[in-house]
Amino acid sequence: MSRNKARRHLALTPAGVGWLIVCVAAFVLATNYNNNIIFMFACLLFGVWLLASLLTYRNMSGVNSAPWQVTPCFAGGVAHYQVSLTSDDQREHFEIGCGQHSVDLINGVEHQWLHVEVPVSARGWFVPNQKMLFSTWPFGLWKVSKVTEDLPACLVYPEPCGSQPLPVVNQLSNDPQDMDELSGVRAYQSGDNLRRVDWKAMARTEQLTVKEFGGDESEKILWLSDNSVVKHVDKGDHQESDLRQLTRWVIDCHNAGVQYGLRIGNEKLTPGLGVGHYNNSLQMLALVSRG
Amino acid sequence: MFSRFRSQPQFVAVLFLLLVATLPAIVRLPMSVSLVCLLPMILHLVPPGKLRKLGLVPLLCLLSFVIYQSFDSWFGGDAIMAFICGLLWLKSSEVSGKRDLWLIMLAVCIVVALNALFGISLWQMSHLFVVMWLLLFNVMALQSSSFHSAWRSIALRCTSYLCISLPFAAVLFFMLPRIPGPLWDLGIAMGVPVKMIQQEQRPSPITGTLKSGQANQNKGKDVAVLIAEFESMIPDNNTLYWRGAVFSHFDGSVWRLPDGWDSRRNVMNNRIRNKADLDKRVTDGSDIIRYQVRVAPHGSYWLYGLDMPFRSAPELVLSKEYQLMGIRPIEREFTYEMQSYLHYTIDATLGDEQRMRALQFPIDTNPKVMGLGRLWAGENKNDADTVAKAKKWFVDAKLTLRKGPSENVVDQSLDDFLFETHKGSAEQLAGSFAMLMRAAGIPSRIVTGYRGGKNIALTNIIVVKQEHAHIWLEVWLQGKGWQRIEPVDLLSGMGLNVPVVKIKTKEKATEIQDQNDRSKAKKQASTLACNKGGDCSWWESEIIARLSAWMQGVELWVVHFDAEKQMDVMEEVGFERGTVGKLLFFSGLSIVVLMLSYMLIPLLIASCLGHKDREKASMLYYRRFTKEMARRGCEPQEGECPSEYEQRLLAAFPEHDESLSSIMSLFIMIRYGGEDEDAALLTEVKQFLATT
Repeated sequence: MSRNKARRHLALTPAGVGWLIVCVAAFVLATNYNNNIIFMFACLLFGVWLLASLLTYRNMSGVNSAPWQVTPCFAGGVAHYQVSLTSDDQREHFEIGCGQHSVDLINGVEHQWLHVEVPVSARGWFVPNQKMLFSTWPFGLWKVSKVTEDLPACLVYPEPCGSQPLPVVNQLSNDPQDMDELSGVRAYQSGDNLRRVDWKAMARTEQLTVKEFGGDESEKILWLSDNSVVKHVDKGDHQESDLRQLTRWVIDCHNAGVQYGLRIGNEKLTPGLGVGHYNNSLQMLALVSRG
Repeated sequence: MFSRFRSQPQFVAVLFLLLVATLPAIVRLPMSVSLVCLLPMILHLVPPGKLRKLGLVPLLCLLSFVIYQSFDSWFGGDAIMAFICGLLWLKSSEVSGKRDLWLIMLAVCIVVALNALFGISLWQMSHLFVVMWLLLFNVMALQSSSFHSAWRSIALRCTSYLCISLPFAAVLFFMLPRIPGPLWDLGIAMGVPVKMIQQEQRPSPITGTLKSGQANQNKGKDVAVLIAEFESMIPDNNTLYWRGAVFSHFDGSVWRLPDGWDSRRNVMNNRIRNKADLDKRVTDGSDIIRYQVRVAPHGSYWLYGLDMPFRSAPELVLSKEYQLMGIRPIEREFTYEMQSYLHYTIDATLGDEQRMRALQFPIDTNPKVMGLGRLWAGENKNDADTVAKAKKWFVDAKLTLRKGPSENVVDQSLDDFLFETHKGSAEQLAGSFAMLMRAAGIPSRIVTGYRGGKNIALTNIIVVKQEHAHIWLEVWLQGKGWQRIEPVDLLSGMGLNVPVVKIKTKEKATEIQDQNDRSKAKKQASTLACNKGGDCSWWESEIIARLSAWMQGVELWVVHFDAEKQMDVMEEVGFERGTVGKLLFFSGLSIVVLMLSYMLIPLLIASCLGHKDREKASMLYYRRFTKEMARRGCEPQEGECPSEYEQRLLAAFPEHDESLSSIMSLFIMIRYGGEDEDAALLTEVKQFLATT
């Protein structure tokens, strides 16, 4: 874990400005009426205001952040960045925040994850703005902020949407070149591709059988292609809507455990299964150059 | 309804703060106003939305109407306070976020400050501290994202932070230069010329006679008599005696100046002619104060100087009674430079003629006064004892002054005033003391003039108005000369402890006063405690007495700490009086030093403890967990392994079996499996403690 020794910036919060105004008002009131109680109250308020700057600064000192981490996400959602915070002393650090979230570094904790959510709208590489760690603890009168390391770019997949059903295998262009050798025959079942019916065997045995290539899997391979997406005339950007539909199909296939391949324009991803293939597919969809 | 409140504990805490802060006002205000102020509380029972917002309007109208009905003016202290309290309670019913809570909390500070205007006491101070603590607690609660589970820790931290901020507050309180208020005339401090005294509003001239109630008659008039600008800081207002006409002749009801007092020839004849003559008369002068005076035109010869003026200026003379006079009637604004001794001895020896004048007692008038004076003279060995006796008698006599303008002129003898009605004018009060002294054979005389003045903030300017008109007396003591006696202070008991003999330094006077106050408080507290309880042990009374003395000290040093006292303290530690710049510099320096030490001390402590190994976090959490379990009656036993302890816990608390298993298995994994699951354990423990 790399140590982050970035400079800390101390600034007044709006509440701190309000507090100061109240202090001044109390001082004026005390002076005007020669009232010691109000004067003491004003001194106390001002003392707390001064002390708050020290406490807030001290709360932030000793807090180190590791490089940010992020996992790819879908467009229209949020990118979940996370950073590991550590304390290089034995003190407790409270309400160390970034964005809307904050964490406590309680005495002795090895590290604490701080999560930040950044909304993303478009697919591709998303480069976020620099983020600051900050703390206003304990009184919210001062804000100490500290620049963290640059946030890494986040890969944003196309937003999965589209209501078109998964293409049916026989309606899709199964690529015979990618098929393996004949591995056997089996009895015909309703819905089997008629091209694979072993007509010769039927002539011999009078039973309807189908040939199997490259094992049983060859039947379940889907080729998801932008050509297989039904185009709607009224939709403006065909490419993006195709990609969104393809993303939906990829997710559905992955969830259903169906082997699938991907072909977009001239680019092709060989069929496969599993998380790796799923990620590669989504990455391919995310990084399709805009045409 | 209450469950919704419980779901927003920060909001409830702010409401509590508001209640505590407005409590003194609510108690003090008329009941109808207080009830209307608190009426918006019922809006919390209405679900948030349009209905609640609609409810605000009639409540605001009702509040305005009740305030209008209950108070004479919208701008009176109580009316303003009632309106602010009502508004805050109304606002509390439509809080929609943190910003609104902040607004209420900051407004609460103003309410507390305004509350303090209605009285200065230890109770006010205690209330202020309670509100301050609650304010900090609320502010910290707002910052905390886990207030539900951490409110105890927040309460502790807020207490410690309040204690830590006290040195800052103390430095500012004691060292920040005090600007004498009020600030209404701030324009003058910024260089705007002091408003000229208008011709048609001349101050009342001295008429040559002093009747009962005469001084009070002009007090209601807002007419400036003089404007004085001091070279250094203005001394304490109560020590500023602007000396005017001196009356020695009393005819039984009226004091008179000698015939021809307003003729130029007499003025010139009666003056102290040269510096040598003055030096012979005024001895042991100290605490010189320099100032410039602008006197309003009044058509007579009288001018004013601070008691005791010792240097004359062009076109004015100093009479043998130490009264400044112009050499011609003052028909237009007249400005002169003057110097005075604040402490002095004058006329250590008294001529026969002066003595006769100062002992004159009209025959067949005020026989009781005469009798009492003679009695004291017989009882006491010396004049100082007689004066002390007289002072004590005045304190015990429970005399009161008539202050209203309609009650000013009352024709009653001094005997009636002292022995029958016990109520009279300032002239009768001073006159009766003077005549008692004369009856006891001590020369005395009445001095008229002004006491104090109105300070103009951020300046060394003071405006003396007709309302500051005042009367005091002087008694002559062998070897000590004329001594001023302030009869008004005797009524409040304040003048009793000031010795008649000349006070060498103010510090000594303060010290004597402090000692007297402390011993008096201690004695009173002990007596009170024993009277109240009937039979109290010595240590109980001792504790009460000490506590009371301590509170008296706090009251003296905090509640009544003022610019004068600040200067005295600074002088004791080696600063010059009146060095505002230095005070400002040193208060700033002290704050910086404090901040530096606050920054360095934790570092030093950390470096001292640096050699200690960091305890494994899991052990800390586990210990916190077992401590809580022990509190609930299931303590880990010596030699018991965690899994056995887990079994016992599950048996004892079956309703929490999931959480307990999770915590124990995490601990076992970390402790014996070397897993890095500290954060998970922390979360589990926190969640468990929060939910149970």
